[in-house]
Amino acid sequence: MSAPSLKHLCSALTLLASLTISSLASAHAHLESQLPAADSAVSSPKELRLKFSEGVEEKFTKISITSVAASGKNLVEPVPGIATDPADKKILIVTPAAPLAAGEYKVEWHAVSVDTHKSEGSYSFTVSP
Amino acid sequence: MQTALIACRLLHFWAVLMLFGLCFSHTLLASSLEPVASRPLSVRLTRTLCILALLSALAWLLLIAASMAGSWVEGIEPDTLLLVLTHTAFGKVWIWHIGLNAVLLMVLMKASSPSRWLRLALAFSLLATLAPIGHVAMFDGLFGQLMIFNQLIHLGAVGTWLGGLGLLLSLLSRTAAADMRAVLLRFSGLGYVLVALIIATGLINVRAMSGSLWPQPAFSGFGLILGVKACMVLGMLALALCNRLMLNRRDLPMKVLRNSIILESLFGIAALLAVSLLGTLPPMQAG
Repeated sequence: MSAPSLKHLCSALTLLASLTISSLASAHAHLESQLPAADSAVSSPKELRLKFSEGVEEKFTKISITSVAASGKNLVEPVPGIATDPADKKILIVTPAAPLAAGEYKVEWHAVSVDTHKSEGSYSFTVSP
Repeated sequence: MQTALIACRLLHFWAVLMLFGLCFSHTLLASSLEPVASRPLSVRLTRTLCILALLSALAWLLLIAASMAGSWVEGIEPDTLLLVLTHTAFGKVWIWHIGLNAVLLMVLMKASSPSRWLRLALAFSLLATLAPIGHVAMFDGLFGQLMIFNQLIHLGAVGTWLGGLGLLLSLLSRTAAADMRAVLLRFSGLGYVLVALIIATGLINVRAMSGSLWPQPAFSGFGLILGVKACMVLGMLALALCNRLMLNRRDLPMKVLRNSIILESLFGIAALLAVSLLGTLPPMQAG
C-alpha cells in the first residue's frame, strides 16, 4: 500500500467515525457542580463541596476564598482545610478556617486530577446576613 | 516542562516495552525453536534498557512532582516527592514501579545469565505497573479496573510486537537464512494475534476515553494526534505484510528484510511519541 492511499484511507476512516459522534466530558478534571452553588445566596455554610468530573488529589489541589468586604476591599480568607470525600475522590470538601461572615465570596480552585493533569477555575457566591 | 515530560514518557515507555517484549518473545520463540533462538538475550542490551527505564522513571517522578507543586524548586524537595509517592494515585503506583525496576536491574547486573522466567516475571510486573498510569486513571470502580486490564493487554501486545522486532533484528545478523525463515514464520503467526489484540484494546480505550468512536474534534488536538498514531500503526502493518510476503519467496532477501524491520520499528517509536503526546492532552473538550 502506498503512503498517499494510506493517508486517504485514514482520513476517510476518521471522517466516518466523526460523523457518528456526540461529546462528553474532559479528562482534565473540571468542576461539575458546587455547594453553595455558583451565584447563589446562602446562610453561612460550614463547608464548601466541589464536585469534579474525575477524582482529584487533595494534597495538591489548592483553593482560595476571597471575600469582598463592605468597604469594597478584597480580603483573602485564611487557607481553608481541604480534603476529598473518603467515599468519592471526585468530591472536594473545603472547610473554611472560620465561619464565613455575610458578604460576597470568590472561590478560586487549582485542581490536580488523579491522572496528574492540572486545571483551574473560579466561581462566586454570597453569604446572606 | 511539558516537552520534558513528553520526552520522558517516550523514553520510558519504549524502554519498558522493549524490555518486556524482548524477554517475552525470546521465551516464546525459544520454547519452540531450540537451536536458533535459544541463545541468551544480550545481557548488555537488557541492562542498558533497564538503566534507561529506571532513569526515565525517576525523571518522570520529578517532573510530575514539579508539575503538581507548581514549580521546579518545590518539585525536587524531598517533602514534595514523599507527598507525591504516598498521597497521590500516581505515586502509589510509581513507588512499586520504581521498586520493581530497581529489583530487575539488580537481577540483570548480578547474574551474567539470569533466570529467563524471573526476568520475564519482573519485566511483566514492570509493564503491569505502567497500565494504571495516565488517562485510564480517571475511571473508578469496576469499570476503572476493567480499563486498566484492557490497557495491560494493549501494552503487553505492543511490547511483544516491538520487542519481537528487536529480537528479530538481533537474530538476523547472525543466523542463516534457512533457520531465519522458521523464526520469522513463527513470529508472523504470533503477529496476527498481536495486531488483533492491539487494535481491539486500542479501540476500546478510545471509546471509553472520548465517549465516541473517535474523539471530537477529529482533526485537531487529541483527535489529530490519535490519527497520526493510527497512521503509524497502519504503516507498521503494511510493512509487516510486505515482510510476510517476502517470506514466500524462495531466496530470502535478508538485507531488504532487515531494513524493513528497522523501518517498522521506527514507525513503532513514532507511534509511541504520539502516545506520549496524547497523555498530556485532554481526550475531549469540556462541555
